[in-house]
Amino acid sequence: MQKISRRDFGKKAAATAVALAVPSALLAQTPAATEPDPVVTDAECDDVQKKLSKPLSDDAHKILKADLVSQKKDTAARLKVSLPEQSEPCFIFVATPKRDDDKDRGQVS
Amino acid sequence: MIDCYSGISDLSKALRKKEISSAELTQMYIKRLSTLGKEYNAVAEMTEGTAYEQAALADHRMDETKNPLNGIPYGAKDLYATSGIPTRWGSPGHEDQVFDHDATAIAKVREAGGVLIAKLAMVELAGGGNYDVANASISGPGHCAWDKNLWAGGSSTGSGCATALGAVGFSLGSETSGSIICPSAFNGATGIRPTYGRVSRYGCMALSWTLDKLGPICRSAEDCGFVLDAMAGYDEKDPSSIREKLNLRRKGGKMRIGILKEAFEKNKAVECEKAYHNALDVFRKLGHETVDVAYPDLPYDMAVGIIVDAEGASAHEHFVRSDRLDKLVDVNQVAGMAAALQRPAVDYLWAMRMRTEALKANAIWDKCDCVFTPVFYHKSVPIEGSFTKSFENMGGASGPENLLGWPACAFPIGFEEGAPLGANILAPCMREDVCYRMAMDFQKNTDFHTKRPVPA
Repeated sequence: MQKISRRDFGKKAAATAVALAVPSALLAQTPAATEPDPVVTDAECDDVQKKLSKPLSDDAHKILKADLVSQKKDTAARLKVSLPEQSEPCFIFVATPKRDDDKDRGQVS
Repeated sequence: MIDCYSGISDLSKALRKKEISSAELTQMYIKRLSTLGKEYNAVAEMTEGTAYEQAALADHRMDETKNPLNGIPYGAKDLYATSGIPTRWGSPGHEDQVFDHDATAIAKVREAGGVLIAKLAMVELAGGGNYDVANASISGPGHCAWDKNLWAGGSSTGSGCATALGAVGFSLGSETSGSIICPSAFNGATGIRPTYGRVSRYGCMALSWTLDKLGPICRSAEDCGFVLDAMAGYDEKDPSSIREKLNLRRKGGKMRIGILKEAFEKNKAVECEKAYHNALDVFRKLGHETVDVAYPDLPYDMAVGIIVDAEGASAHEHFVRSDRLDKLVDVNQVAGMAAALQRPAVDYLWAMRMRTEALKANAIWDKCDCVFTPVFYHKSVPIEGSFTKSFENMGGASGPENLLGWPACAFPIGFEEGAPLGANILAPCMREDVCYRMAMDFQKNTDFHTKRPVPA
């Protein structure tokens, strides 16, 4: 089985704990191993840090940087997966009609 | 003669015949859970006070109700809200959290007569920040019921372990993507992950509103059926809960079992391969057919990961931004929860569009009635060290099951070096009856689920 990154493991096992093999189609679409990792700048890490109440520990900071790299890899990988142009997200906003007992309100008699 | 490993049906019969009272049964399980259960780090909070009150009530109404759960002591994963009892979500950052209401599932099981004796240990925040060690819990590392050097699995850690140890009559777990199935497999328990929406999520910690499911972990499929009967049902407090009635005992003919292309050899899974093929033989002898199937090649895992990141970050945003974030045990969780705040909205919406595409995988049900696949290719992993390393070669299916809300039942099919190996039956949405029937058939013809771990 391929070596998986901690972040990749996390996706498969964290919430989850099911270690999973990446589908071959995805492997084909994932940037090749020789491609350099996306760059995450200190400023990008600082953006996260600014949202937090306390400074991250050095260890956490290192992992954060790796996680942000992983996110960028995800973005790069997903951009190579073609979805139908008209496809919609798998949730729908349903407009809710007025309740029956509201129907007379606002009407001018 | 009943004991702590007896099934719900036998326990219920003994209660009805007044061979034992619920109070006595409660005392037996509390003793076992507060000693053995704690030794295995399976307990988040004992609830003796309310347990004996509930047991007394169950004894009082024993002649009035036919519900098999009446008087049976159980434990719930510590993400089910329980009024007045700490619900810490496995997190030191939520140490003082006490809700003033019960989760709907807790209320329904109480209505059925279940006696809550403990909140059970879990991975902090159900592992939403990407934990990498077994110790990622306020309760400490959860030991496998069969071998303390192995992990009990997650994130329903205590539910799997305590059930396998015979320290509860049954337990409740939850799953976003594997958290019922994994601890069931690692501890040799039987767990049902119901269809998304089958059990109300109201009152339970959200990790991912569109993926979270609640279900039972028990010592047999039959027991899971009794518990799921009690938990399931529409709830106006959960907009995703479904109205279709659960009918686990629906009659049906022989099944077409879908077989995926497994990677036993690649993962050196000799014992698992044997156990899996032996299990298939059992099914075939019962008249079921097998058929090769495959899912469409789509990046299901990546979609799940992105959805969990985005929804988890939103659900826990106030905590992540608070000064309590660094209280999480696992530094990977701290960093992961923080990083998830940066997950782009376009990533999330792509994942939800991918989910629409993934619906094509439902075409598999034209070829088969269920899929049978190992949960992992090996027994549980060592309790020490990084999961990144230890989960290499664990393999397992990489399908759309959680993304599409398919139900599953995990159950033991054999052993590797003395620890359990599990497999699961997957079925189309709303067809928990298929999972249940197949697992029941298997357990009527094998005895893996009746084996007891060493401490027993």
